[in-house]
Amino acid sequence: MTGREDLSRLPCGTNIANLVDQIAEGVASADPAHQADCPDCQATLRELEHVWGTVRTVAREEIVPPRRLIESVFRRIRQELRALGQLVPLEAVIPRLVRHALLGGPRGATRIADSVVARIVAKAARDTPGVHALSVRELAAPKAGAPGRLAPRGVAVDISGHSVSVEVRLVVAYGTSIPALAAEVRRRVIRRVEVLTGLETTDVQVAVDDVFGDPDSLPHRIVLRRPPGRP
Amino acid sequence: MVVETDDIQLVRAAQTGDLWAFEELVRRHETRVYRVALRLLGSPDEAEDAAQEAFVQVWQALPAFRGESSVSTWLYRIVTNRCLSLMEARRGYEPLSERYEAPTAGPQRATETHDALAALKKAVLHLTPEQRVPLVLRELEGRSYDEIAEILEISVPAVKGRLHRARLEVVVAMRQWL
Repeated sequence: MTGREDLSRLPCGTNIANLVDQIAEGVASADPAHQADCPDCQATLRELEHVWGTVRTVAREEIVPPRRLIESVFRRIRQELRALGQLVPLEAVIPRLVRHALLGGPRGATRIADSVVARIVAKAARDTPGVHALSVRELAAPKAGAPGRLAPRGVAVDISGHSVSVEVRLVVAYGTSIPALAAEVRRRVIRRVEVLTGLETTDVQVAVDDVFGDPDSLPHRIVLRRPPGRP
Repeated sequence: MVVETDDIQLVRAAQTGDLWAFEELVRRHETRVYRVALRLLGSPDEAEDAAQEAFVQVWQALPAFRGESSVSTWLYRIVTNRCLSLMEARRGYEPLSERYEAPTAGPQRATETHDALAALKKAVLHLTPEQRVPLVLRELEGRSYDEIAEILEISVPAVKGRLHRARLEVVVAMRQWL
C-alpha cells in the first residue's frame, strides 16, 4: 500500500497513530498545547474525524438477519438429535409461529401468547366510545412475528421481552374528534394491557381507516345501490 | 414485580433440555450474531451460514457453559471463531479483490456518502483476520477492550496493539475518500 511511510509522523513530529487513537477513542489529546497551535495536527485531525464519522455511520447501520435463520438452526438441531438416536417430537424443535411475552419469576416463567395481547387490545379499542369497529382492512405490513391466524383483524402486536408495541386500525363514528379518540384509545389500551398482563406498552399506533354514519356519504351510496332499469 | 428472564436463566433452562428456552435465546441474539458475521465476512450468504453454524455450536456447547463469561461474550466468541475458520478456509483461492470489486469511479474525492461507506466496508474486509476481528468488535460492535480480550482469549495489551494497527490500515485505505 502506498503512503504508509507518510503516515508514521507529521512534519511537526507528531506520531499519526496517536492522533488516530485519539479520534477513535474520543479521548483528550496527549499534548493539547502543541495540537491547538499546530496546523499539521489540526488538518490531520479534521481528516481523521471525517474517516471516523464514516466508521460511526457504518456502526449505526441496521442489519436484519434473514427470517429463515431460526428455522434453519432448528432444522440442524433436529438432525443432530436424530443422529444421536434421540426421538424428538417434530413440534418440539420447530420454532413456534406464536410469539410469547416472557415474564420471569423465582418459581418459573410465565409466557403470554401475542394473540392473547392482541385480543385484549382489540377489546379495549372497541370499548372506547366513538370507535365504531376495528377495521377489517388487512394491515399493510404485518409486524414481524405477528401470528395473523389467531389475532383479531385490525390489531397487530409485536412483543419483545416484557414490552409490547401495538398497532390498531379503526372505523370511527362520524362526528368524533379523531385526535381525542386516538388519545383515548391509546390510554385505554396501555392501561388494560398493563392491568391484565403486566406488560409495558411502548407505543400504540392508531390508524383510522373509515368513518361510519357520515350523512354526506349516504346519497352517494343510494345512487350506487339504485336497482338497474329505474330512473 | 415483573422481571424479564435474563440470558443466564435461559441458558440454564436450555441446559436441562428446554428447547423453548433455547429458541428464545436464539431470537434474542440472532441479530447480533448475524450482524457480526456479516461485518466480518462481507457476504450475506456466508454470514447466514456462519450464524447458523454458530447457533448449532452454541446448542452443542450448552453443557460446557459455566457462566464464567456473560452469555453475549460467549456467543461473540463462538461466532467469531466460526468466521475466523471460514476466512482461514477460503484464504488463497478466493482473493478479496475479486470478491469485492473496487469502485470504478477512481480515486477522486467521493461526493457521495454511499461510496465512502462502501469504501470503509471494503477497507475492513481487506484487513487481515487478526486485525479485522478486533476492529469490528470495537468500532462497529462497540465492545470494550476487556470484553474483546475475553472473546478472543488474548490479553488486553494484545487487543490494543492489533486495534492500533487495524485503525491505521483503515485510515490509509480511506485516505482517497477524504
